[in-house]
Amino acid sequence: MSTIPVPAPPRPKTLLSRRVRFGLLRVGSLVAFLGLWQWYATQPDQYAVASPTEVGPDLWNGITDGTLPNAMLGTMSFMVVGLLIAAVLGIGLGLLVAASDVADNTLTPLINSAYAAPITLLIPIIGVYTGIDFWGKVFLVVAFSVFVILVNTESGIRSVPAEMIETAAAFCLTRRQLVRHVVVPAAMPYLLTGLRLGVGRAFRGAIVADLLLAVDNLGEVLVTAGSTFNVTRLLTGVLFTTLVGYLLMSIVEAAEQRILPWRTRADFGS
Amino acid sequence: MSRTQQRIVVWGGLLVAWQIFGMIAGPFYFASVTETGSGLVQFISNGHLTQLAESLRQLLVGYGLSVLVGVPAGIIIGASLIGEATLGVYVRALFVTSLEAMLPFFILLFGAGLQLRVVVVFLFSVLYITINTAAGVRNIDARYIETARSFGASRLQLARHVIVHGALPYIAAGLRLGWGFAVKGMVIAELWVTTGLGGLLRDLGGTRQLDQYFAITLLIVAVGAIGSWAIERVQLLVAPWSEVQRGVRGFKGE
Amino acid sequence: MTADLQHVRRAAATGNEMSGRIEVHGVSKWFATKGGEHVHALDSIGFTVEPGEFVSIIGPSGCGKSTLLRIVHGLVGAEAGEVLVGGKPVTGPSPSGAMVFQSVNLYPWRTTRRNVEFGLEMRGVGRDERRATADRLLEMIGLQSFADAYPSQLSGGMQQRVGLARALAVDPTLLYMDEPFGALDAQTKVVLQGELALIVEQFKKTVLFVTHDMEEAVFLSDRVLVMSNRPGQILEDITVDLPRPRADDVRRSPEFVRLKDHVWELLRGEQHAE
Repeated sequence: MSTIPVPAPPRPKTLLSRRVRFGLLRVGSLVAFLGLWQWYATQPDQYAVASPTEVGPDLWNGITDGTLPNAMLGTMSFMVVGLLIAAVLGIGLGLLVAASDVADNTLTPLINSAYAAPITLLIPIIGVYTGIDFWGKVFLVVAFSVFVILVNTESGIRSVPAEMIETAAAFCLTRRQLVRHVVVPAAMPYLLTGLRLGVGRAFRGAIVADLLLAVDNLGEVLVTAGSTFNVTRLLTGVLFTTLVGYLLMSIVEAAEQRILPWRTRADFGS
Repeated sequence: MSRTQQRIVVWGGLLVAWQIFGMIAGPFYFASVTETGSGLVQFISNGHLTQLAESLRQLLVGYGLSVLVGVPAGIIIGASLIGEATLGVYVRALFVTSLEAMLPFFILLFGAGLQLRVVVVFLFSVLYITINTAAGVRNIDARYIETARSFGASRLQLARHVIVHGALPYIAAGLRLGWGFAVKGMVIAELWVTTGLGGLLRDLGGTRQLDQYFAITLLIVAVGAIGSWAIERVQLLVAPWSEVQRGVRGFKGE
Repeated sequence: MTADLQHVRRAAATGNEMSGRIEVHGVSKWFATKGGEHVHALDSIGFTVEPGEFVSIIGPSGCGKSTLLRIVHGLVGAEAGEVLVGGKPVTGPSPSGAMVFQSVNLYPWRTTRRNVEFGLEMRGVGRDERRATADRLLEMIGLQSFADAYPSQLSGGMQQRVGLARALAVDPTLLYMDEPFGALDAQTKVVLQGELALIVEQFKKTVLFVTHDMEEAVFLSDRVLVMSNRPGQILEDITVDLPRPRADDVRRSPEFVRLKDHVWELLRGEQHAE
């Protein structure tokens, strides 16, 4: 660059930067939402919705007395097992399907159907095979999350540009080197996307299992509160579950960002 | 071997395997292909088709509402900062969390009747439609917008002639994804309140009448697949220039 | 192509007013980067383009020449200075100008004909009139048989012809062209340069043409403005005194070669400075 002094750039015309305005709007809308909720919940003929001033303290109590964290750990215990199995199965099968054109032609339509099908249809019948407790729930978590991992793994492998493989061939890479240094890094973004979505699905599957297969853990908090018309605890449970899900996704996203810093995020609002 | 031949061989093989497995396992554990077929006949002759029709009706009402709400909401979130900050944040917060956890709460709010089922179907599908539409609006090539501006297009013209078309493949993908989740919502709502098809499934599962159970499962999966296929056809009819976007590619929300 | 231009000559004979004098005074531009730093893109640019003139802007990549073109058209604002077109300050894209883009930017959801109609449609011109204009221009560029095809079915050269037709459809006094042939292969490029030269001579348009191709700049232009590295300044305003109409053999004339060498000398200095 030249050493000639350049005149100072003029100040931007808008008073607040985009980021600040966005933050203000966000906080403002949150305040408005809470206000609306409080107003609605305190209407005289309203008994199904607890107000934020009731739910807030109840959430705090539920967390400090260990009820909610214990319920969460119970849900997580089988979710993690299911997720690990789904990851191994999904990536493995995804690699197999991607490696063979015959498998792609014949299995991919079936996998896509299974991916789109309502897994909850299994709930009334799987008890006979797996029991309705730990392994039944693990099975449900696997069924919820395996297909998204599989499909993403396969697309990742298939999306590796032919030129990249050609370049590798020009450098005389062995098949092993090709997979390790070209295919896996190129497919990694898809793979991680699949895992991230898999975590979201596994969580949903776990909640469904705790609600519909055998009521327990987080599901028990919700169902008990619902059947005893404890509306405060019910909303607390919903809020807590939401927070856990949000936290889980944030952790996975942060991990993804760490593993692939070179990848520019296509998401909006981040 | 051509693709069709491969499919005939592999799918035929899977059907045969299914039949043999069903015969070995016995009807208590698994319904074979032939049993599932006769289950379908039984399902129809028992007059359960009306139950299916009833379920489809609430499915269509809930899905229709989610299209009417989701597409405009997505356009607002995608096109304006205010929309993103006030609506988008919550849509995405709901999106990453478990709607299923709200089922006990919805029962208190909406009862166990038709209203609940429509609400669940609506909520299951509306998020996908909204988020996909917003992504479509936001991903429109900035050069298309610059070109329109260079020809003096107004904001309204920009929306009508550029944004709607540019976002269309994404919207269509959202509609397909939303349909799949609408079906999922229908199933889970009915299983939760054990009415309609859901009640029937609980009964059939409990008494291990797997022949009819498998038949209903296949029918529901077919409803999902046919709807998704129909949306794809309509997209290509309305916008022959467009490519069909698969849910997985280019969209990180799901 | 030449035969197709018959009616264009007639159109030119009926003539449109040449009121498009462009005056650029002391235009400066800064960009804010994501890190919050400010990059000085253009520094006190000043030049004039007379009605009917073909002026090229050439410079190293990243020198701000495309930005300058957008400022003149009114698509982008400048932090300092002003642009006058026909004596009036530019505040936004005006109907007297039309732009041809390097990436063409045809709308994939519109057929070729409807793409050519786009500018007219934005101006509220009725359907029959739009269609007539579009068909006439498609015939001129030799793509009438592709009227109902979608852009994805056209080659790069065809697409750029359509981009030019879309700009001409609104009958602008001024044509702004942003490296329109930059992405084309060498042969197509030479063919299209020839066609463009014919068209602008017949239509008597005022053209501001951004390019990084020295031969293209000299071949097409009455004047070539050579720009420096960032912050972009005009290094020299070169007059191209070659007879018109220019055919391909002009590329071999000593004067053409001399001018091209001169531009290269100026640009080479900028390459070293980088």
